[in-house]
Amino acid sequence: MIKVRSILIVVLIVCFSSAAMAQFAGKKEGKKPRKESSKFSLFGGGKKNQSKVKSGFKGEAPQWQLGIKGGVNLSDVQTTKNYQVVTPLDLSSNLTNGKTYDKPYSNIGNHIGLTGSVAISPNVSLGFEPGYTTYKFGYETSYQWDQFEDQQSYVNVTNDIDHSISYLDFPLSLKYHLKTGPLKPYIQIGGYYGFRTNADKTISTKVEDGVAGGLDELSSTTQRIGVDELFIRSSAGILGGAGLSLDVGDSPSGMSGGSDLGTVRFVLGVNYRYGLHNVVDVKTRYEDGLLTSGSYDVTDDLELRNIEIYLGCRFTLKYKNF
Amino acid sequence: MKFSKYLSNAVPAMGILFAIVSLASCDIQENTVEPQDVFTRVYNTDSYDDAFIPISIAQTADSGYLILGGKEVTDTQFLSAYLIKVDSKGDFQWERSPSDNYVNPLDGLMISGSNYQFLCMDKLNLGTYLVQVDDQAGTFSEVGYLAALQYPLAGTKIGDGGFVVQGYNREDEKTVLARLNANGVAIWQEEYDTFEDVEEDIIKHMIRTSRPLPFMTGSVGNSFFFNGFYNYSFSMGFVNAADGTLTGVINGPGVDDAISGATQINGTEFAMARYSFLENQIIPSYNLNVTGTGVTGDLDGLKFDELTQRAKFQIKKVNAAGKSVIIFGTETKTGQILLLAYNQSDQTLLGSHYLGYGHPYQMADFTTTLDEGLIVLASTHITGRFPRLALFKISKMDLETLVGGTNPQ
Repeated sequence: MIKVRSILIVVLIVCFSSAAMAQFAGKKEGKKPRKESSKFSLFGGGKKNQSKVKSGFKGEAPQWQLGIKGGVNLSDVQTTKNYQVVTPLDLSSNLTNGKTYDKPYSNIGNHIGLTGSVAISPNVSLGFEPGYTTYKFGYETSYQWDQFEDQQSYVNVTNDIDHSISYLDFPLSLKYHLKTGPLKPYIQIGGYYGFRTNADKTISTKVEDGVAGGLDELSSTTQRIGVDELFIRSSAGILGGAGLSLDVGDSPSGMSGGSDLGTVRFVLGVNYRYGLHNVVDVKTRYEDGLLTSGSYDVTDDLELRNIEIYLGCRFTLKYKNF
Repeated sequence: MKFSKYLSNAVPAMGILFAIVSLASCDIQENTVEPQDVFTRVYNTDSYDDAFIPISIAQTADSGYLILGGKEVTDTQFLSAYLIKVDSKGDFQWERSPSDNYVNPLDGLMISGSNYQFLCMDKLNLGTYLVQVDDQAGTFSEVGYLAALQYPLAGTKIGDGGFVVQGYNREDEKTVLARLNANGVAIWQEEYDTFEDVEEDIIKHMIRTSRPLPFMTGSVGNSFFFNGFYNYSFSMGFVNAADGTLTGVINGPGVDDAISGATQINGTEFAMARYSFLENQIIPSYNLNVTGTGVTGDLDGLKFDELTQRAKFQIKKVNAAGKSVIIFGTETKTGQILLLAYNQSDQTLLGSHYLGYGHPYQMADFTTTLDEGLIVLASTHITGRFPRLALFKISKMDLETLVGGTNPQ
């Protein structure tokens, strides 16, 4: 509940901050006549032969931008509570039957989507980047049975369990450009909300049975199971990151004549996403007998963590004099 | 001025955004279940040779669970009595094998004040022990021992705090029924002719080299009943509670056709189950005639083809979702546990629930819990190999779903 409030507060802070920064920027740089401030332009068609205006200078600059972005996700999960089906009967035993999670951020997912930006001042913009995001993580469980007197009497079972969860994401961020000019480093903070669209588990089971006559694997199976119901619909969190943007081409009013596309902004950046709540549906944790009774797998309470590295380009829809 | 104008434009948008996110994130706020509400556990050791067989379960005063079972040991073919205690979430607390002499524990952990009692057999002399368990301390005390009541097969606690216990006299080849007081002392002990030597069947039942037989005892009005060997068959006999005189019988044609479950609903009305060769039948309501003579074929019930041959049944009367319900717990050919809920008043099927998948799971016992859910004790073979105990906790919500939801008021 507290975490849900946190994400909502972040959203509100982003919105209020953008308003405040816009006001601050307006005072610092002076107001421009409103009649000069806007005009729609996409893929060329702007005014010619006006004074040259480069990004970051007073004058006409991209205000509304829309484009596409995509990249990779390096995911991790934070377990907030552990659960297990196979329970050791000896409290002093080393037999924990727990899960060994993959190394943090070692699983690569991906994301793709739209990227939109509204400049509030030459240095500040509000970003909205709806997209399709896939997180991946996994763990291993292993069990062993043996007989002290007989070295050949043993059974090892190893389950390698991988997860893939996809969300339709709606991130909102406030971006601050650290300097002006065509190549601009920026930092950003924000929050996101995602709708879970799909979730899969892939369980690869390897069995070694010494009694079978050798060290070779007795059996190895892989099964992929849809586990949509195992995860709640929502995923919310906060994000922060940094990147570089490069403006190519001039505004339609640029002296050089500009490009037909107007100003195109390429962005390369990295974000860290911090999930604020458990994404596992605790009501259905034990519902799938194939997992709990068949593979002895029960999902822990998990919060998502993610490093996203992205590349995108945005086209200018509207210019404004700041 | 500009800021206030900007703000006035932004606030409605933020309000809408806030409302959308709030509504969409309801599932985040509602995503709570207590760990003790629902769980699945398989209790395991890393020993290749360990084998555990579950028998009975009871919920303890601290909301944990006491499990009675048997464990394979090396010096006898009989199962050694074995108990484990787990907490309300299913986390293991302790395990005990009370004595090397206690073998073949009988179905039913019986409450005695703040303690629990069970019946079992002496490993060497084959007599009957009544053992008391202190679940908090994990200690045991021997309440009584009846050397004359050999091969104990079934026992039930009765209304006066005493017990009615079925055994077998191997020398006279007779089924034995004994009424014991609360201290385990025999009030009377009667024998009933089997007219054949069934010791081999009984030993196979005990050491599990054949499918276990549905031995039972219980009370109905002023009578007791036993389900066991009688008169060349596997029958249900009714006896006078005062002296053990046989008053009636439902004869079975042999061990291939017998009553496999019986629970009193009201007076002489029982919920029953029966197997007949490859068939299993459920009889949600049947009026027992304790003074008549009948045959198991009279119990014409609902035939369930998906159940395993000679399926084990546990039948319990349960109050859930404002209804009086009879739940039949049994096992399927596919190695799953099946719970079937019948309305007590009109015997209609209210719902079903399967437990287990992938590896074989077999019914041992179930009982309602303090949080109005259900706990199911099962046996399984972990990874299809090693016999282990399994526990399924069903939440109150799932139990209500099983019984068809709450009644509209």
